[in-house]
Amino acid sequence: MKKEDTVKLISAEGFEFVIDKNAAMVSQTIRNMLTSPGGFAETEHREVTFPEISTTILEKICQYFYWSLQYARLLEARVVNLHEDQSVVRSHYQSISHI
Amino acid sequence: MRVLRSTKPASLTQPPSNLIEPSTPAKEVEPNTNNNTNNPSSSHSLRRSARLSSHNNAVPPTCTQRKRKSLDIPLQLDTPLTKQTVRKVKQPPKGLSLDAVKEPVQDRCLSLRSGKNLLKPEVNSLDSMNGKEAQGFDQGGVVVEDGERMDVDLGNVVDVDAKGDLSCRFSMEEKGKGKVVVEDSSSSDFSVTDYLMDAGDLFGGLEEEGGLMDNLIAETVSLAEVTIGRAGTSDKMDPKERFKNVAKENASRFAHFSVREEEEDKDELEPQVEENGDVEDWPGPFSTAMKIIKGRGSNMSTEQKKKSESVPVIWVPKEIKNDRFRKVAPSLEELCLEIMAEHVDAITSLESVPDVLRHKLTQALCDSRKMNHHFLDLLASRSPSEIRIKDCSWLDENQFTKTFEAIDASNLTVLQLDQCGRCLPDYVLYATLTHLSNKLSALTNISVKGACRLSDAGLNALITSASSLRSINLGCCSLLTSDAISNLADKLGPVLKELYIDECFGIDAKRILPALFKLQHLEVLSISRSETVTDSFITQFVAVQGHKMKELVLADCTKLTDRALKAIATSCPGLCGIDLTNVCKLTDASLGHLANGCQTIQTMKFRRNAFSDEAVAAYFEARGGPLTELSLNHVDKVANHTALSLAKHAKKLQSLDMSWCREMTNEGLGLIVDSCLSLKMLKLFGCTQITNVFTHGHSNENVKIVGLEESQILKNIVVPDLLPLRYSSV
Repeated sequence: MKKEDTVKLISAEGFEFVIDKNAAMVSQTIRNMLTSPGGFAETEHREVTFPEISTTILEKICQYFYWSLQYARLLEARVVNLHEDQSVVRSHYQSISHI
Repeated sequence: MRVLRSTKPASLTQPPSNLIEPSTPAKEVEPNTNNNTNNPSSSHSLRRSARLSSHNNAVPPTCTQRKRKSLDIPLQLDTPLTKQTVRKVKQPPKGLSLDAVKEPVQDRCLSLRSGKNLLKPEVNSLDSMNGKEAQGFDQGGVVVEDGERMDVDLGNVVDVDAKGDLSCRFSMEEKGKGKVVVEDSSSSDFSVTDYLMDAGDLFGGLEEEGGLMDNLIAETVSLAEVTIGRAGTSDKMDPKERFKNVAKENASRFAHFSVREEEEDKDELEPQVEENGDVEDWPGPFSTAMKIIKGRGSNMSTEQKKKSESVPVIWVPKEIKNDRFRKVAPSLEELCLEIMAEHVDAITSLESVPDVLRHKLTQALCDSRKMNHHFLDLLASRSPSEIRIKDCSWLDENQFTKTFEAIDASNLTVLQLDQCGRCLPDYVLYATLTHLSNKLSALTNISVKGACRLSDAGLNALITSASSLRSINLGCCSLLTSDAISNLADKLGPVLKELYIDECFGIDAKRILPALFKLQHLEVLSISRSETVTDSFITQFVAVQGHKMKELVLADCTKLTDRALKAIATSCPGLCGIDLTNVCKLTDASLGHLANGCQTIQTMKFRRNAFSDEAVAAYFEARGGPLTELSLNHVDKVANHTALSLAKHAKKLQSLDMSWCREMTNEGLGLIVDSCLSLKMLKLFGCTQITNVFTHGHSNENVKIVGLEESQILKNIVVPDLLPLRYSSV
């Protein structure tokens, strides 16, 4: 991965997690930090420190970021592939809800 | 055949049970004799609604019982006349109906022609008419003729009357309300009125018109009867002529309709008959708004209907996009809470978990029925500050005692034990929460909704122990009486801000008025589903407490009318929330009052109210700005005008419920959703007319649409704020 595509998250104990930028953007907080025009230090160095989050938790959070991206991509693919079927499914649901 | 009954002088006795009472709000049931001759049945004249006559050869509907009861006095005056006319009527109603049967349902007028035709085949058709009548009535088993059941298509009758299209040709003198007919019928003992009342109940939404309908039907019936009677007596007259005469005499009576006929309590003021157009004429924001609404209609081309065509032109759905689906991944918090709820027994401590998350977890557990004693102990451990359990039905007395006798309640500010009927009788309360005096001194919020075994004494003990309560929820505590509330007011007068006494059937609203006056800072009062809440109660209450009131929940208080709303509007300028679910008697005038009087209403809940589209739209034009939560559930007539007004003015709207508003269109909803950018939740249960055009074409990405397809109900239940008090800080 290129350096410009990555973000570093630092836990309370000092562990550094280097993750993809898209993954980090799942979190609104990190997204605001990295994209705001306010001139955060983080924007420049692409490093965010979390002094109150322990390492195990931060690891889980990073795993969640990637999982969330996959989930959304999976949905999208499903939507594209099953676009035709969706109308069938939807009408089916509607007929059921009418009952 | 029907049994003729002697007319009793204006007595409101029940008709004999063997008589079928037409379910239409006719005035009187006329007992038909077997002989199809014009027996001057001294008994009551059977009156039939025009529709009934036209549709069935059924016995003329009996008088509306409802009418009878409410119109005692006026009835008297016309008794003699009606009686006379009554007597003449016998088979005629049936005769009338014979022809009517042939008439198309849509023909609402009892035409002369029909009447005439009916009369002719008198003798022979009577039997058949009777039979038909018998089949006509749906309601009740009143034997109209020959003990046959008559079913009345009540709906049609209602419609007919409501529209006032009946050209009744009653010769009876009336007070313009068909009371005479009622009077007459009152003399009969028929219980048709019961049916009529039932029929009236069927049309909750048409309650206003119900009375009107009753009148008209009664009149129609009586007219029919009279006409027929005349026909019976003097065959020489041409039926046409007869009908014409009758029509001439009675035409003027149908120029004015009364809005309401229900009798109020005796100690109530004389029920006002407020014309619907009244509020619009008063100066104020509502009338301005109504003019705007009406102006919309007039601007449109003449061939377009007033309310239907304006919106579609404006809103164009976007193309169906797929990026809507991108944001569906559940958040980490949700995932964690799910896992914790699933494995609740593995949790060993809730220390340092903030209250918000505790509440979410508790709610998830209660919803999935996994709540147990172990978790309750965790919640109650180590000096908790808030415990909110929305469903304590799983908890039994022993467990409750064990947990709560050892609890350290010194920091406890909020205690919510809803549905605690099983675990909270008085003796358990004494053993736990009130065990040490002042143990609950920090408690500001308590909810024991559903504590069906809690009595006055238990409540007194609780209040003694928790002396700084700001908010108390005693919903569904059926053992409580007015004395408990008086005691509560005595002790908590200076501090209590919110009082919820929904569905407490032992509490009489009038008797707690003095107690309510003692609550000096009362902001929220919720007395839903109480039969004792009347207009006079509301008027007196808001006269004293109105200026501080922020929220009034009067759901299911069906006795309230526009008068109460007028009082509320004039006396409660700071009102922020009002709930008028199922208060069916309100008319557009109420909306006018609210618009003119209350400027800051944020939460507005309507359900099954009979408001018109224009009035609702005018309210939003005038006062739509501060609205954040709006429910128009089952306010059937809401349509494009409302959509336009909401889109234009309700910019802060966050939650909108338009379930069962079948007049709403895709375009209307699309306009609302695209214009109200704060909208987060849109409920559309029962709106089968909404299609993909709306759900895929709107461009508001934050809104969650619930109710169109399979919707998860539990997750979408709105949880009230988790703040201790709704409108002020503690």
